[in-house]
Amino acid sequence: MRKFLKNTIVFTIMIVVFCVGVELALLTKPNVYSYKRKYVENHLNDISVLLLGNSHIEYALIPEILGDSVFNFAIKAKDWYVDVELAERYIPQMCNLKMVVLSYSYHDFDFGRSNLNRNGNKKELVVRNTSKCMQTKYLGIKQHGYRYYSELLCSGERFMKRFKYSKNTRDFCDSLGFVKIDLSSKTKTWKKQCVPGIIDTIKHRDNIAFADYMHGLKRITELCHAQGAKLILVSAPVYQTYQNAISEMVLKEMRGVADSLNTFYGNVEYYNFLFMKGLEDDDFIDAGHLTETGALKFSVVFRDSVLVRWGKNCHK
Amino acid sequence: MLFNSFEFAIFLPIVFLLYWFVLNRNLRLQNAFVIVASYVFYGWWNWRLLILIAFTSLCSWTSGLLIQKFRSEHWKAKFVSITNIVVNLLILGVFKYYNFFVQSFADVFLDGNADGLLLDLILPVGISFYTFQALSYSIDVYKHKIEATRDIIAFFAFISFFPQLVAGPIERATNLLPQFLNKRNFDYDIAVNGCRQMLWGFFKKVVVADNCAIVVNQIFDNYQEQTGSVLLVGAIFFAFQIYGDFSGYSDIAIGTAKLFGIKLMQNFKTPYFSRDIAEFWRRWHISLTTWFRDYVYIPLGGSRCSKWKIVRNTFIIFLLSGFWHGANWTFIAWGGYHAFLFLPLILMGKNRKYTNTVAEGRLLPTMKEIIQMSLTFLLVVIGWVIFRSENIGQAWEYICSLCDTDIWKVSYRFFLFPQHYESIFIIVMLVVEWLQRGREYGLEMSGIKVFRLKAVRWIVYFIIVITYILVVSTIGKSDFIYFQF
Repeated sequence: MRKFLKNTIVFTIMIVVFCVGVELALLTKPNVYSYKRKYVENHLNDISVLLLGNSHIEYALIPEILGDSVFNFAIKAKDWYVDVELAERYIPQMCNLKMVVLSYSYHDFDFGRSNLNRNGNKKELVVRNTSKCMQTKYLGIKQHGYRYYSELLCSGERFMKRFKYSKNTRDFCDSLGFVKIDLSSKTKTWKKQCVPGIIDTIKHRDNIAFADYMHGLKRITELCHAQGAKLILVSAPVYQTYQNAISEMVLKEMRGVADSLNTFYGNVEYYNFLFMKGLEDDDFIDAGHLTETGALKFSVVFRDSVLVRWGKNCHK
Repeated sequence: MLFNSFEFAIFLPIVFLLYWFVLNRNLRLQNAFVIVASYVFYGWWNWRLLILIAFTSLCSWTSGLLIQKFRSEHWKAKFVSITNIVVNLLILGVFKYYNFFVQSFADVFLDGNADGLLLDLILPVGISFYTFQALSYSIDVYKHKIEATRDIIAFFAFISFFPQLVAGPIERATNLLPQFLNKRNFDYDIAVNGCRQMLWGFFKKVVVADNCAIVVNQIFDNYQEQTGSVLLVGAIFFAFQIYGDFSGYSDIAIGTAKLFGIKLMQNFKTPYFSRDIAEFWRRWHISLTTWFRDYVYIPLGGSRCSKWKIVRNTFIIFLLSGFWHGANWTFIAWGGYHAFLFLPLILMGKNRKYTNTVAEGRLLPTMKEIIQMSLTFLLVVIGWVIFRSENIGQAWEYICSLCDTDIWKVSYRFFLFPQHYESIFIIVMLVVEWLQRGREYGLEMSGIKVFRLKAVRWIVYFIIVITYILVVSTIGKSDFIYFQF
């Protein structure tokens, strides 16, 4: 028995040492999360336009085109509650903040009404698990009560890629937080990828999830309001196949939520670019995301129709 | 509680240490602890369902004593035995099959409208497994194969022993009960053997089956949009998924039992290396097939009767076996399909042609054996399509689409695309199991020269554990398929 226990303990220690070693080694590797966090923390007083949200903004808006002191703090697969926590943490400290651009995603309005099983898609699972642990580890976001998610245990095979990751790799962002997506990673089935589930508006939505979402949006709006900044909700352009899955009712709900926020706080604007014209097949990497060329076109349109209009001015 | 869960990783060492260090001096106390641990393990899903296990155990224990008591009055013993069987099957029938029968009745006579007749029942995890185990005890007592036990604690431990409680192997009282009646001693070699078997089970379940499941679900959920070659990949992957899932569970269960000094029966013997369907059924889910053989097939006359009775008996056990898996026509059709495949062999007296291990004493099989194994595997795969489908219509459409001319356009992308490294794991599993085909499980190392070196053994363990961690981190944990049965 003693021999058995000794061997079991020694073997377990070996496994634990290996896992801890991998975790520590990964801490030294650069990544988008730690870069963006560090940038924001070092430039709190320099940023006048802060872009928040997920990949729909991260790949779509180029700060260089938008103007000076713009930073893209959007990160792929970032959930809205992470943005709330980041907003709580940084917006009150940003003295020169004029505008917060927040990704206003169509699929966020699902609230349990579509039959899309996201857990059945391995790629999506990997992305979500990875982002969950990266957000915890490098953005300091507490997830489901946990303060730490092991990259080895939670980030799928992606942590292996991170060993050869550097600031020069394709996946890394530019100095202002924009991640370039080129056509080389486009698959044959790109038109079907990232198409949202059909939202059945007759079904009752999950009111608790909706209330949580509203609470989060209100909180970000309040924080912006307190800083005298405008909150711009943006639905980035999507491809035809995505557009076909969009429900008019859901769009009305999205508009309704934005209007109600604006009525109450007066600093909210909603811009719907879901059906933006002038984009071609090569401007999309999949049905829901833009490539670098698409981002160039969209950034110009966004600058001219939003930033120029509001002149990056605060509302007070 | 799932074997592949964090809870189990905490539960097992605690139970192991208490079992051997605190309670090893008193057999009854040790058995009582097995019951408590098993009920915690099972109650983790739904503690209310523990009442069912306790009731089933109590019924069978009492009936065993009564049968023993009425040995001289045969009709009374028979009455008790039949009553116990009826009660157990009634519980199983209500929880597992009531809604199926009502819905089928409504489909035929009430235009499918079964409103108000269906019951909102939960299917208790593993109910078919422990019910069959309990039944075998009372039947064995009735048939004088075993003495009824007065030790209620040992009996309850026998029914509820947690490693095999929810998905087998379905143990016989003749094998398992005496082990609870006698003192167990810790044996280092057996415990290490158990750990290895668990490790191999985890590899098959998590690395092979769970990975295959993702591809299989994608293909079966959208089968109408897929080409023949992709559908074939889906069916083959499902064959490995269900094998990895179920045999993996059995290996974990048997390995865990070994840690507690209990030897469970072997449930799988590399079934995909079978040369005909009869051999496949001697190697697949052995505890269930032998159960049906001993308690249904042989009492009906087996193969020592007229030809039409052989046909009848064969169909009965295969259809029952299919129905045992679940309340769906697909399972019954799957049983019927296998009966059709099995029947020619039994009628020609060739059902026991291959009782040895394939390519025994040789490294590689002959061309004839390769063809035989491939054909058998293909037939089994078609059966799995029926088994996996939601309904008979889907199964039929899937099989028809498989015969599409597109099937010849082999989808290399599916096999070679980096995301689908499942094929690599399948190949690893097949190679290891081929090399170890005469042994109890894939990772059995005794007698192999290279594994005499501790370093080599540990490197193998290490690689498997790390692979396991990486795969779990990618796809998370999932239930075992056979829990639903």
